[in-house]
Amino acid sequence: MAALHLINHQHAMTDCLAVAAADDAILLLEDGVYAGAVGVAPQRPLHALAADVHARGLDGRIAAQVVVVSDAQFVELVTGHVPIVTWR
Amino acid sequence: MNIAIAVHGAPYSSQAALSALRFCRAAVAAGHQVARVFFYHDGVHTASAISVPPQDEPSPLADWVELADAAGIELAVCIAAALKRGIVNGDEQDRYDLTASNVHPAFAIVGLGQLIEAIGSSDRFVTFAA
Amino acid sequence: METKRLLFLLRQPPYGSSHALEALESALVAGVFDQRVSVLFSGDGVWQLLAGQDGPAIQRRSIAKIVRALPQYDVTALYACAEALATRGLGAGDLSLPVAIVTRDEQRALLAEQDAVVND
Repeated sequence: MAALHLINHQHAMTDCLAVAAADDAILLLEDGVYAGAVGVAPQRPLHALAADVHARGLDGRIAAQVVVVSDAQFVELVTGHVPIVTWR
Repeated sequence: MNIAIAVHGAPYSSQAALSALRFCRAAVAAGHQVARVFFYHDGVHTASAISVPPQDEPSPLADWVELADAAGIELAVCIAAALKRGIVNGDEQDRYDLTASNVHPAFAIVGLGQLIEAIGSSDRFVTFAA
Repeated sequence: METKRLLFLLRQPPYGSSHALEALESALVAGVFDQRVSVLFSGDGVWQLLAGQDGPAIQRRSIAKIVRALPQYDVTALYACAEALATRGLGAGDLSLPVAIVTRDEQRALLAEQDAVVND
């Protein structure tokens, strides 16, 4: 099963991308969602947590390759992947 | 599915405990079990019963206690990380002859082995970092 | 409790915060608990491996000493990120104990084998 990577700070993005497999999922949460902004997000599929996106005024500023997900979908990402890797 | 959770960030100075709380609520709502939330590193501050949140903000402590009670979640605080930071329950107050204790009774003070046990007996392990 | 494949992903430098120390303490406990434990030092976490540390000089426990204790707790699968070492001017001879130096591809394979990952 593919891994789920959690990024809650932008600075961990580079190291995460270097190690993540192509079919791994990456979820941006907390300050990690800034890494999903248009012009910032890397060219690969990503997920971003809706509450954190909205709280930071990023609605409408998230790049096309980033799927914005609810808390319930966050849970589905967790149950659908192993292991869950938090990058700090 | 059984999901174990770790919280590494202190309340207010980090979003970790709030993110974990929302995740746990969603997991429980989806029919999953969260057997134990393990508070480690600065996350142990979450257990303080004497924090006073600003009046216009919800109390993370009250929210944790309510969810844990409703969903049968064990709130576990690492004893080594807690003692160093002045997070102490009545037993530890007596043991170390301290002038006060401050851990909310909904939180259990446990050894680090309980983190490993939680990981070993769950299907998924998710850490909310500082 | 099942025996799980458990990776400790250590990315923080050793002394500026308690993250490295407390993560290492949890890795020692995992070793005692009969889990299949691996430790991967990456990013600034590779500084934890540097020889010649003197934590007591700044009133801290020596992180190198705790790292060197890992094998005594049956934590013998120790890895360090080759790129992280190289970009910091570090080689195998600079480290306080022998570790397997692994490429990004090897780290990807290591992660894929795990049941759970603990970070610092």
